[in-house]
Amino acid sequence: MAHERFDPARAVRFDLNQGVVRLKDSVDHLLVPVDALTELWQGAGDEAVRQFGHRLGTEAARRALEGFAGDITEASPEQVLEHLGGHLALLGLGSLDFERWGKVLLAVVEHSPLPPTAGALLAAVVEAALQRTASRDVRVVPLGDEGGRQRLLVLAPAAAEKASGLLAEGVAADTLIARLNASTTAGDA
Amino acid sequence: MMVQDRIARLQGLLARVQRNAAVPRPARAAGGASQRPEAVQAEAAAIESSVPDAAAEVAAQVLLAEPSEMAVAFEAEAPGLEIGEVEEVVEIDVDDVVEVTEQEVALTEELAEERPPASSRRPKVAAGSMDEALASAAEQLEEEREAPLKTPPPESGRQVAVPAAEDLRPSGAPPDLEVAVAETPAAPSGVVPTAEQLGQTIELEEPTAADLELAAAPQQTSPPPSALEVELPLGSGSYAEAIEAPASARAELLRRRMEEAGEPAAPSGPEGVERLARPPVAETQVVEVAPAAARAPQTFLQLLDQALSLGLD
Repeated sequence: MAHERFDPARAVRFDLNQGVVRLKDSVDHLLVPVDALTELWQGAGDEAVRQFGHRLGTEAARRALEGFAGDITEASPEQVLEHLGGHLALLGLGSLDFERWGKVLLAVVEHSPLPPTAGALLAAVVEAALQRTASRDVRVVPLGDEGGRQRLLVLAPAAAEKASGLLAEGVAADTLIARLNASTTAGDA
Repeated sequence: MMVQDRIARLQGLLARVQRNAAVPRPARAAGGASQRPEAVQAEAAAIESSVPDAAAEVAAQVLLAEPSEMAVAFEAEAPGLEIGEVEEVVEIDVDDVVEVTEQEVALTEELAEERPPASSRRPKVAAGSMDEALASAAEQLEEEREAPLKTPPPESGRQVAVPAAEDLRPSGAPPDLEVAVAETPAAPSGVVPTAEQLGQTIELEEPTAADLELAAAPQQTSPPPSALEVELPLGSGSYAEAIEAPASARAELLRRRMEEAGEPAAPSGPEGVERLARPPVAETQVVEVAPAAARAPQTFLQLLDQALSLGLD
């Protein structure tokens, strides 16, 4: 499958006459200071933040799929990352990378302007993006911030729920990754 | 020149006759003085025929004339010659000639011991007749020819040449020995170089204490002491504190103590101790070793599905 390289040229359009900022083939956007937005979602509930993040991730995945003509079946991880990470970068959320620890897949967001406590918001954005891109039921569990790098664990819904419980119990992220690699149970076991 | 030589030869002959006349002899036979032997007469005739000049006549008169007439004949025929006074002239017969010849041979041998140098005048021929003189001259030449002349040094004069190796070799020697003799460069033992050949040769005295020299033990001659050599002080049990020990002394001491304790000694390096250091391991090398078991998925969906397949027991 032929795919286009990510091209950010003319991705953001500032209509100064109308005072509108638009992304390519997208709705109008609003440039908001980070601290103001942070105060806003910190006052909101978890579900509201999660919905907010889903809306951002879904919109980014939609634009990323345009580079694959709607089908990423044969797309390599690098190609998907190129487009998906590119569109998240246009939103100003940071740089997206993938890390593979054995069979465990981690999504890492670096250089995000959001505070370290914004892991749930970034997890909601990546989760919605992967669901929209791969059409899979995906859950993303935040593992915490390490030096400005938000590590996000990509799992199935059942495994994600158990992992969240283990992390709440104080299990370290590396131990959780090791247990995931040692398990033979697939799916939501 | 030839005439003068013959005159000189005849004068020599006359001198011999005079000497023979002084020798006492037995009484001669009666009438012997007037009767000349035939051989003497024939010799005189031969001299007259071969030497027609005045000298030949003088010689013939010496042989044929009476003794009293000899001095007068010499004065008359050869006035330039001074023969001297003849005290007594006796007749010469064949026996006297033979005697003279024998005595002359003895006299020649005596004179040979004091042989004049080669550069001196040729000695007079001592012979009873011209034939004998010629014969003796021929014999003398033959004797001189036996020893070939060799190019002498400027101061040496006539000398006897060293015979060749072939002449020294015995006639019946085998071929191998002949070759060995031919290759030997040494001079024969019987030939001694002359003083002229040796030049200013200094003769060394014969060693008188050869036995003592051989019996004495050879002495080892030590080289003369150099100005840079300093004798080391003998060990007195003390050492200088200011002198630092060499860099490897500590390691050497440790090694010897370990050997005395029965422990294997470490091999001595530049400082006496070999240090083994593990090469530094880069961080990327460790990361490559840990996840080596997983197989990388080819597509993004494979990667995602693999991650979604994980669960927790």
